[in-house]
Amino acid sequence: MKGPEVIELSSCVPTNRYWALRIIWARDTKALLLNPGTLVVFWLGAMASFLFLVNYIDTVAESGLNILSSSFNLPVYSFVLIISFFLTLAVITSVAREMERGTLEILFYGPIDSVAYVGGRLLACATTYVAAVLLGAAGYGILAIISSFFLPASTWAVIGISIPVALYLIAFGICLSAATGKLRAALGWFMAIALLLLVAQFGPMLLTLAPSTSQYYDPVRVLREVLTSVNQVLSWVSPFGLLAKGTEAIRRGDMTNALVTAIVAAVYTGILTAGSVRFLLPRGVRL
Amino acid sequence: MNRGSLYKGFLTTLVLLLCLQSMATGVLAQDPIKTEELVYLVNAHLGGAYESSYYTQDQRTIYLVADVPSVISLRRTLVYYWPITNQQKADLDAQDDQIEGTLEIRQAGRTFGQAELTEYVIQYAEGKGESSGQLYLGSQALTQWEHFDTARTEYRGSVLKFFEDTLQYRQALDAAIAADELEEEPPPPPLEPEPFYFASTVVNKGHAIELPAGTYRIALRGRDGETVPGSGKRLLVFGSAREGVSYSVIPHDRYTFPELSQDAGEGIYLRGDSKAYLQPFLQVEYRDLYLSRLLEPQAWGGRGDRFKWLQLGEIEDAQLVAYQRGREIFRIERRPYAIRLITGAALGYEIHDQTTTELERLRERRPEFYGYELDAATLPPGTKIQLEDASGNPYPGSQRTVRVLGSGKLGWSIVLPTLPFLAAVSVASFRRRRFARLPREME
Repeated sequence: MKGPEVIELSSCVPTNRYWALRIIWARDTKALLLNPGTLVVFWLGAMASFLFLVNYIDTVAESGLNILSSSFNLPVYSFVLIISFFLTLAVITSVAREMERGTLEILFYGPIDSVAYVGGRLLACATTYVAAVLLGAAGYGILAIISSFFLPASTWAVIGISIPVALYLIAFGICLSAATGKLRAALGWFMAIALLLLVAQFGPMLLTLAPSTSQYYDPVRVLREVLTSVNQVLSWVSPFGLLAKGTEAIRRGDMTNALVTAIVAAVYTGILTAGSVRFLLPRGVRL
Repeated sequence: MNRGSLYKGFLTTLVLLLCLQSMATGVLAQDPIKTEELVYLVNAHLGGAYESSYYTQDQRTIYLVADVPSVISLRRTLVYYWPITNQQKADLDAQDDQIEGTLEIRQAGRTFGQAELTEYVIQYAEGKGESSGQLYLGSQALTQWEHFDTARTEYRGSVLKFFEDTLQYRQALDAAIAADELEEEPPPPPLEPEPFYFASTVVNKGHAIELPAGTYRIALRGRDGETVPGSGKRLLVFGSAREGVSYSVIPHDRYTFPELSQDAGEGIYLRGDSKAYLQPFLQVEYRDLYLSRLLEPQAWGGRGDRFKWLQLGEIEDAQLVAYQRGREIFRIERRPYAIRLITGAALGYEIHDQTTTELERLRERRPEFYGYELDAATLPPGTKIQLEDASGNPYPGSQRTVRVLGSGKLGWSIVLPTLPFLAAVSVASFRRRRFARLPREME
């Protein structure tokens, strides 16, 4: 009697993994792009950019003169921060919830493994992000033509460098979800770390605005110096710091440093993606 | 002794003690505690001038600019804390003992060079701020000092002669008026001598060093061959990151509030009816931390990951060339401008081109500034400007984009950022309709 046909699983894995990755990527991309939430966030980002430009125009109309390093850098910066933050929160919620509800467990019993799952999720976010910034860039182009604002090549470079940085932030979100396995914990950790990084980056600048209570002594000097020192260390780790570093390098025409920043962000993305896969190996299945 | 007198005595003693205490506190506040310390005096070359500063024992690193000569010297002096500026000060008037010896410079544990003590003077031909500083060493320093001293003595002589001549002139004029002998125009008064701008330090002694960028260790080896204790310091020599051109952009109605454009990638945006006047300056970019420390060794500010431009002298021999799509469209000459203060309730300024103004008194006086006029009304869309020297070579970093903006141009374009919101509403309502259309048995 002839036994059942034996299929060599190892020969199927690459094909199945690719197929699974493609399915997850296509499904997630569609879900993200056609999500009213994504579109509302996109609108918020676009409005923030628009208001910056209106402010610049008002300044010129009132004072007759304004000098801008790049009129679109601040709008772009705000836009990419809002979009990448939203995508990170979306992916954290999605991955952690699927782990909590046991959806991942069912998926992992099927033809989907952690590599396909993490890769698909990351690629879907990347596609959504690229689509959003391309649409945003097209909007900036139209606004530049309408308003006579100068849209320099450096703005395109900033948009370009924001892609690996945003991916790094998203990969960090996936890794946190995979590591904690709980929605609340993942969101809590993400918000705490993001807040710390933002405070370290923008805190010293904001503290310079603190009113001085003494003519000779700055009451927040020590705090500002501590935050500055902390930020100097974190600036090579923080995605916000990397974006600021890359933007500054582009502004100064230092393309080598800008490229180094992009590579660093890409390397971190790779490390965090590998970490997420590693975390999901035992955690995908609820024990 | 009764209890009352004891009580009075106690109170009197207490009051006296309090008075003495307050007096003692007052005396301490007036006289800071001074301690003898080794201090490095530094004359650092920066942007064509020499910046003087001192480094006490608390400052471990001395900052200098690469490939230009600077002078440092070790002194034993009195150091005290000055709370008004929250700084340590060196009382060089009370004590200023130069430590003689050879300055040893080491890099990566090996001797890099030595600098002997030598005489030096720093001189500015047209005064500091108006001309670059020249450092003279050794015998040349003595010669240059004599040259300065002679020039100063001659100037004093000419000023004295001017006062004597003026006195005689006035006496002669008064006498002529009193004698009623003045029938025609009096002779012209004596001419005032040209102002004396030449500036010089006295002859000092120091170690002149000119090093390439890098980190070094320095220490002074005394005449006895031993390293002077406390003379060791880290020496950080840094180079410039970039060179460029900055523009001080003066709006036509705000002469006293110019804007600064420092980067070649910047855009200058003008309103359709406005004018601006550009004053170009050479500039060098340094790391913010190094520049801040060089200018103020005790400062806390400055960031290692940031850069800062240092403005140098004004560019005087250039033309401003306007381009459109890479083609030259016109050239703007550097012109002298005079300021007219508008009096009355609406105070303000008017900027007049001295060569064309109809106001004679503005034509005759010394111009307030020289610059290049940018008239928004004459600028075509997409104008770029660049500074070129007399030979037609562009100044690196002098390119700027100039745009003329109309007011309210973005009014209707608010539709553009609103599109994603409209899309969100459409998607949400579509989903809602689709869900509503589901057959009841499928719910």
